[in-house]
Amino acid sequence: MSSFHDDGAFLDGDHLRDEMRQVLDSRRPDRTAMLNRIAANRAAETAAKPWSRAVRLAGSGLAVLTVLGLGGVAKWAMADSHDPTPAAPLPAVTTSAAPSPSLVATAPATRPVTSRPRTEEPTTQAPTPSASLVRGHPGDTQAEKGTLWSDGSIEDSGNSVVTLRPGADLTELDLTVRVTLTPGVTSVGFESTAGTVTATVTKQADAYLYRFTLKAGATLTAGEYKFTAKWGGGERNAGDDTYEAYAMSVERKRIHIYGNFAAKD
Amino acid sequence: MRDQAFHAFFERHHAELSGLAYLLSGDSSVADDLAADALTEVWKHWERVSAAGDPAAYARGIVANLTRNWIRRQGRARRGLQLLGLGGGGERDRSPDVPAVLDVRTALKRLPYRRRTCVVLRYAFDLSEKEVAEILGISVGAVKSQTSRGAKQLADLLQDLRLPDQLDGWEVAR
Repeated sequence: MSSFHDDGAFLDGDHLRDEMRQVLDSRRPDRTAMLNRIAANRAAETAAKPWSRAVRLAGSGLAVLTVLGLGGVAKWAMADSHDPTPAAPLPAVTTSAAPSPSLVATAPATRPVTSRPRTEEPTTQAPTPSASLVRGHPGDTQAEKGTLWSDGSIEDSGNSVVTLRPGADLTELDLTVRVTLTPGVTSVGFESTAGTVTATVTKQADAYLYRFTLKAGATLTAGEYKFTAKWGGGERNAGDDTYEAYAMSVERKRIHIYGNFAAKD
Repeated sequence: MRDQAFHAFFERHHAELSGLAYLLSGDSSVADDLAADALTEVWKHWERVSAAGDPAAYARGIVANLTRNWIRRQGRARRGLQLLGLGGGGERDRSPDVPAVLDVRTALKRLPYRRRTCVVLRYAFDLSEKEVAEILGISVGAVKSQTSRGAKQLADLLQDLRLPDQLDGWEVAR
């Protein structure tokens, strides 16, 4: 080769080739990390598919979506078991949803919750949670009634979680989580730790309604259960989100609770 | 069947694809992720990709696109971090003889992305002009001119970077 004053030496393809090969040889890719990432991507992809389809359908005007297409959930919902803790299907849903960046919306750690002045006067008690009068806004809550205790909280990954603690068995339960249609929000599914509960998502003019219903004839035994409404679309103000539940205890007592997801004092 | 074929493809090409992402991004810590994401795309479209022709070419093109997107996203934040002396972290293989390695990486980063891609694919991976054209979706003529401009620029940059070290021996024999 010639001296460095000779441009020809540097334009020589062999020279550039050697330089770059040296860079490549100086590092070894982490094969395991790559395989793990591909597996996580694939899991997210599998989990995302039924949902993206569901959301598209919602966009095209279909009002009611029964979103039991998710493999694990469908099996779980159809399993005619009274066992409150089904082993297999639920974890499958949980794990498939976890590594998906597209599914997980970021919710601010400390959510700004704007208190909303209530204009409607509570008149007669609404017969179903989807009635026009929405209960549970700040200042209008009843988180505990009789033997049923409840709490709503936002987990940092775009999950609105309602925790129910029935002190006595419930023979009926109809829980609705209302996620208001803030700009960009999408419904990306639900989870439940109660095996005897089926769930659906419907899109209404102003909110996604996640409805968790105890199957007819089934019993929700005393304990603690978490019902998660999962949403995506990034940061949003969840200050108008509410939940409301109608239940019947084994003593044939009607229970009506409602609340929101604001941070508790 | 598909998984088996894909796995074989992974074993054959993952190192090369990661290397491509490394040379294009200049960032060792992110190269594996970019290559893995590209491989996921290959897996997703495996039937079509393997039927239509060369999955490796498809994968290289995806790596080039993903890396370009990553650079765009990172650009501002990364430059800020580097000013604070926090950037460039995550290098796993900082061997004693890195100056030469750093030179090429630094120089490559200064090339416009299209040129950089052409030079890397042509020289580091020994692909023909026609192959590079297909991977990048540009004409052979564009590959030719981008590569020759890129190679010239890279050579000049390397010369500039090394000049101070080489002034001591004024008659440098290579």
